[in-house]
Amino acid sequence: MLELIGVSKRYGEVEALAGCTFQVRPGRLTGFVGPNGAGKTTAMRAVLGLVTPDEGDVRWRGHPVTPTDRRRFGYMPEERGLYPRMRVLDQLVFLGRLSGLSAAAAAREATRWLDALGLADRASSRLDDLSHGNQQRVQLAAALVHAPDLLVLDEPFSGLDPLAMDAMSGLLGDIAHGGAGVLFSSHQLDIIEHLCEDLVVIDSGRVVLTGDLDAIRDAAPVRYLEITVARDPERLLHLTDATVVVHDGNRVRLRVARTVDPVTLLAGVGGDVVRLAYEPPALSELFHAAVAGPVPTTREVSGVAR
Amino acid sequence: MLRAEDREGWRRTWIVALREICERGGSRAYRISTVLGVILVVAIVLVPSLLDKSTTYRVGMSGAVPGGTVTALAEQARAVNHDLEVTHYPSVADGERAVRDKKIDVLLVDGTRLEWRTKSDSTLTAAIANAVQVVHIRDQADRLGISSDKLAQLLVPVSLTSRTLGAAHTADKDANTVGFVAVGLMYLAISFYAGSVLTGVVQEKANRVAEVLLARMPAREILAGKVVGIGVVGLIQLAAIGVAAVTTAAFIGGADAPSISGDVLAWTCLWFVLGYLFYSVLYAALGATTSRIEDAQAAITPITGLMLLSYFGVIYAEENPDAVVTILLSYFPPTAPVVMTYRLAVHAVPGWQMMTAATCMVIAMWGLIRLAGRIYSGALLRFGGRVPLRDLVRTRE
Repeated sequence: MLELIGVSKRYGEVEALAGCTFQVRPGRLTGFVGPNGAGKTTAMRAVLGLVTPDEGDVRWRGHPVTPTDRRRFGYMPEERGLYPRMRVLDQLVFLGRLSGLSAAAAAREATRWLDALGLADRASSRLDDLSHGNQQRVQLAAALVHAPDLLVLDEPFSGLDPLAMDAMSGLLGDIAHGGAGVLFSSHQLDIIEHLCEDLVVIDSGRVVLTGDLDAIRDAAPVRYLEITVARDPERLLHLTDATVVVHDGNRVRLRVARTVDPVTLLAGVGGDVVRLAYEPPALSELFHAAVAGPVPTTREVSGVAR
Repeated sequence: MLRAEDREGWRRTWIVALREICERGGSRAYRISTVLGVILVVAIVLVPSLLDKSTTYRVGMSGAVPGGTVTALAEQARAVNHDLEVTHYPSVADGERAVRDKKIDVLLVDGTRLEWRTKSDSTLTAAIANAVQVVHIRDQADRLGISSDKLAQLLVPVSLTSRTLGAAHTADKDANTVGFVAVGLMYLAISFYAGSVLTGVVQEKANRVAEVLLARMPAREILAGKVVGIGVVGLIQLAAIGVAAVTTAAFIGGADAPSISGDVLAWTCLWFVLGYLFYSVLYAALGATTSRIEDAQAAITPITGLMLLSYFGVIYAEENPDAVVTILLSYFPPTAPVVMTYRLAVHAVPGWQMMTAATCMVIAMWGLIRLAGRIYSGALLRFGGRVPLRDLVRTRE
């Protein structure tokens, strides 16, 4: 497990990280979200040792992370970076060897990843002769070539078409379920919601929400009840303890407190319900609530805390 | 015994160096520049000797030529290392036409008058004058009854060599030429290969490869690997060009090619390596503070100034080879590679002075590498305009 404990970093007047605390568990996908400039990239760089925190600890498997530990991390920076005129396979072998693989092992792993990512026929092409999407795949292969224990990806989905996004999602899932910890940032909350088991929300250098994504949603104080009836939707508009959010023809969306039992609430509604949904708020709502708060404080969610 | 982590560090440094060697050494630009360099240097050595027609005196003669003049002239020509080609013309007009058509260098009329096309050649004039004089003496000697054996002993031509002293003592002209050529080459080679390190560093930063590398290894290992790799590539290229030059000079039997002793060559190579290391590390550190190659050129301007200082140092050293300033400039690390190269080529530099200069350089490098490593690692992840150096020296990154 990777832990950041009270990590702070200041660049002159800018406080990039202010006591940032969260964790990345092995075998799980952790989504890392926050507004631009919230500190995501700085936090990731602190994990990789590219930034030395002014305060706080980065711990790996219970001890302060060492350069040797970091050699078992894989990293894909937001700004993609590879040598444009170097051949794809040579590039991956080079990076694999720098991560500690022997020349033979690096060649074997690089070839294996190129196969897995559908780039086997481009192995001897120069990087800048590849399409944008294929260059992204090579970048991912560069992060994976040494089979890292922890994978840190800064915006892996940016610039991908829908098919490539699906492929990337599947791949990240496979890697996490193979036992590695995966931390990735994204502005696409729907991807995080569908893909991730864990969530970290950061704002102004502070973690404002973190934990198991389902638990976070379950812990939200409100629920949404969406009901479509065959006729007379008006009877749904004046229920006690429920606020109407949407009224669209025969469909009504209500917000209720978590403590309100939907079965009791709907007891007198009658037998013409066509559709019914009862769900916690979507990630986007939780995110907006978390980053809009005037005084951000970390909320630990029970069942997920250390 | 190295610790495992240190061994890994050296291994990574070498992998980075190896990438530079393979990628640069295998590039078309490198092969072309090596071939061009070889062609250029062969041409520089070869062309003057091809163009140099003055090794043969072409002398025309008409009218009454005293017997023995041709033989005497041949002896004179041999004494100044020239061949002789003599053509006899039936009339003065024929001879003069040959002079105008550049078929001969000079026409000797009646053994007493020289006719040139535009201007006279003082060496050839002297040779002919001597030959004519010898023939005249021989005739007189005959009349006076001196035997030809005795006369021959009296008349053996003396070979004269010349040497230009210059304003100061000991520097001979040949050595000075070698010195300036060596200084020019040293200056070019250091600027060129250190410049390659500069562009390499800026490109890596602009391509954002730097971040991918930094996630795998400390900045000082990247810096060291780059400098070593480009240095090896440069040395191979220089060696190819050097071998081509020496082979060509040997092939044309360069009586004119100045000879260089082995230890001077070895010291010169060492100073190239030291100078290259010094400047490439400086360039790399300053290059890392910029994100674009245009800015990088501005960033290294102060260093270019230091390089120029060494050039002025050489000009000063030519006039004042033993001045304290000259000796200090050959110790001062930024100017030492170039100034010492000049001193080595022109004078015998005492061994202890070489050692002192090399020691100063190594000490300076030790400090410089630490400072440069700090600047390099601090600056690599900061994009946009120039990163202020003051921030980087202080930073803990």
